[in-house]
Amino acid sequence: MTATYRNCMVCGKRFKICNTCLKSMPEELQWRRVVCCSQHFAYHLPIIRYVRKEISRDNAKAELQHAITTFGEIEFAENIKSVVNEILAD
Amino acid sequence: MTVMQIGDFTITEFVNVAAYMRNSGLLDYLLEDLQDFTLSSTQEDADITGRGGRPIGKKKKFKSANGNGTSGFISPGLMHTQTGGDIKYGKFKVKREEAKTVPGSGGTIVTDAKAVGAVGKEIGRIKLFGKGGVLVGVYEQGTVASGENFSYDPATKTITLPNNVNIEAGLKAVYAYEREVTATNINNPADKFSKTRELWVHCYATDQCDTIYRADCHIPRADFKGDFDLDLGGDQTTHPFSFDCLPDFCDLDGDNNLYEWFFYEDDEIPIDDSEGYSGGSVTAPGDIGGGSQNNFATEAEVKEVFSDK
Repeated sequence: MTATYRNCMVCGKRFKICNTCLKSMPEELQWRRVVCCSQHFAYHLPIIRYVRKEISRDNAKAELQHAITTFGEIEFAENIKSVVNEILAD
Repeated sequence: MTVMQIGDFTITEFVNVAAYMRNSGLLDYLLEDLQDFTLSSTQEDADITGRGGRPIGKKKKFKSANGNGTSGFISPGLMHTQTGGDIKYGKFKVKREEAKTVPGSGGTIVTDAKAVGAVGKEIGRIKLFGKGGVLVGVYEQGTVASGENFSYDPATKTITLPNNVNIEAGLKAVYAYEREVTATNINNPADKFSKTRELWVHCYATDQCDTIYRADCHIPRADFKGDFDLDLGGDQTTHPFSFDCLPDFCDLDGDNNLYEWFFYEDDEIPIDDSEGYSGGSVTAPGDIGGGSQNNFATEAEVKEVFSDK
């Protein structure tokens, strides 16, 4: 079967999607469909929830800062850099 | 003592088939609109031969009975008996595909239902088609809409298309997603098989004197087969079924019956009033309950005919 690849929604790196992995966890948390590694899912959630206006900028900033503190600074994908800057702005 | 005994008769109306659980005896499901139903009995006879190969007797074996029929409705109860699966009611995810006209680059499309799934991959991918079904572009879902990505907001069910010069108004956007629905779920598991039920086939019988009887066929152990076809499209979709009648070894009476018939007049539930027997001839499927006027013989007349003089 041909593997399906996509760009990580956080770093932009190409990765292989798995639609059948991690079936035991709730579907909305199945990170292998959207990001290249589990760590990047911690960055992904506050960003997309902020874009969708599900959480405030303050909450998004706190969660994103926590991810950066826990997993370190990363190079964000070009298409979300402006949103990340908006969230992390003072 | 008056002995009531039915003579030659004909089955004039088929009413329904009731299926009961074998262990508990509880009603499982009812098939009310059967188009046809056949109960077949077979036996294999082999010649016992003597001098010169002449038959001098018969060796009888392989006695069996089986039934088959067609339900005008698709019956969930019947289906789970045939598949060995379960009937569940609750929340399930189903897939839906949509094709909508693109308003233009950076425009929005509202999905018919709320897409669910991994956060950021509720839609996943959109294909854009031009005139004649020519593929114009394929775009992935992103966190925000950009030149190559579209975004989706489940709260407003809104897709924001990419800002891309290749995306023109009038293109057709084709995408699919999962949504959550409250549904009845009937499955056909690969590792489970068809089940056995106790059946009661209810009919009306009419004798030569036009007396109406209830005719109930009891099949104590109907082993349903897992083979059935659902023909979708075209004509009406019907639900065929078939089963083998097996001896009921669970029956302590030891009757060993493949099936048995009961014919009786019904004093408690008059046939003409309660179930609208339509009189004499076999009715078309779904016509049960017609309730037309009839002129049945009175009970006294029946007893006179059948009394043991």
